[in-house]
Amino acid sequence: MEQRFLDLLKQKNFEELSSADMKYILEMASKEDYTSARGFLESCKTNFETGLALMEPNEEIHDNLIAAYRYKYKGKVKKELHTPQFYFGNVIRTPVFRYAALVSLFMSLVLFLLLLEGRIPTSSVGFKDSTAMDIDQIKNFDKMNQYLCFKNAGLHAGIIIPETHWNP
Amino acid sequence: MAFEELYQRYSKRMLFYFHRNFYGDGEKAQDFLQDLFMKIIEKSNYFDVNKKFSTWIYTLASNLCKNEFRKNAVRKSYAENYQNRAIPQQPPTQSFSREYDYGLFSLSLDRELEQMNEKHRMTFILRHQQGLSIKEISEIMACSEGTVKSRLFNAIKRLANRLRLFNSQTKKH
Repeated sequence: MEQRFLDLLKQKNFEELSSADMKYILEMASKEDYTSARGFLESCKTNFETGLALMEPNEEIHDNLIAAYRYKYKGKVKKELHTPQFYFGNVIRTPVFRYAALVSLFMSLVLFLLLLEGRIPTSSVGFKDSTAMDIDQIKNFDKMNQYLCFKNAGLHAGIIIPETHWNP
Repeated sequence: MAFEELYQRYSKRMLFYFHRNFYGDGEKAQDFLQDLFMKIIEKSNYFDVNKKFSTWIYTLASNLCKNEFRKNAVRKSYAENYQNRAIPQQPPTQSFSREYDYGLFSLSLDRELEQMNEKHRMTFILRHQQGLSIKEISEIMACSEGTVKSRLFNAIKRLANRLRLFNSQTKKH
């Protein structure tokens, strides 16, 4: 409600109002009040323009602030001088360097997979080196088998190697 | 330097803002201007780049004023300042009439603003002295746009009524 009043006050003299606007204004204030308020705002406008022109910040303030600003950002400027971007800025921005990290990550993954593949044959070396033996000669072989069955069923069991055959 | 640009753009306006809020106390206004820009340097990382800088700077300035009002020192300094500022009796020559009008009206306006509620006063100054939009004022004062309009309406009504006589005098010049 006040918005319309404030807008009209800023834009039009009482005599310039349309009949609808005039009716609306007269519901809220008298013609004298409206004219007075408008005159007051015009005086304020002139007064503020003059006042602003007369304002002048002290020179010292400007100097103090510039000194404070330089003091605060001095460290940051120094740090920036030692970054790779400062020395190699243009080189780093080339496409080859831009995707270097991605390419190196991919290459690392491939290398890891190749190494993983390589582990399988190396682990089988232990079987190849093992010595064959006659199971009938192993003492308590049945018991040993029983433990192995437990292990296959998901239970934890150690493999018992008969003492007699332990020593190589 | 970006800071230099900001200072050039806002220093005069902010000085005037403090000047009016502290009822024409020039020294205090200068001190607060320095404090304000010091805060900008110190707290520049708090500025939200998605928002308008003008809103942020006026919010900082308004908070400084509010803190000062809370200290209740303003009323005292105004009383001293007001006594020192004599109302000019007659404009010496026609060329001084503009200054005379300015001084007289400023003094009367300061006196009326001093008697107003802090929120109404700041709203009026932000709107009519600093030329901010109602939306910006609502953000700075942390209230709804409706509240801003209502405060403006009441402030104008009161001030226009109180300075009615003065208004007719200025029209003569």
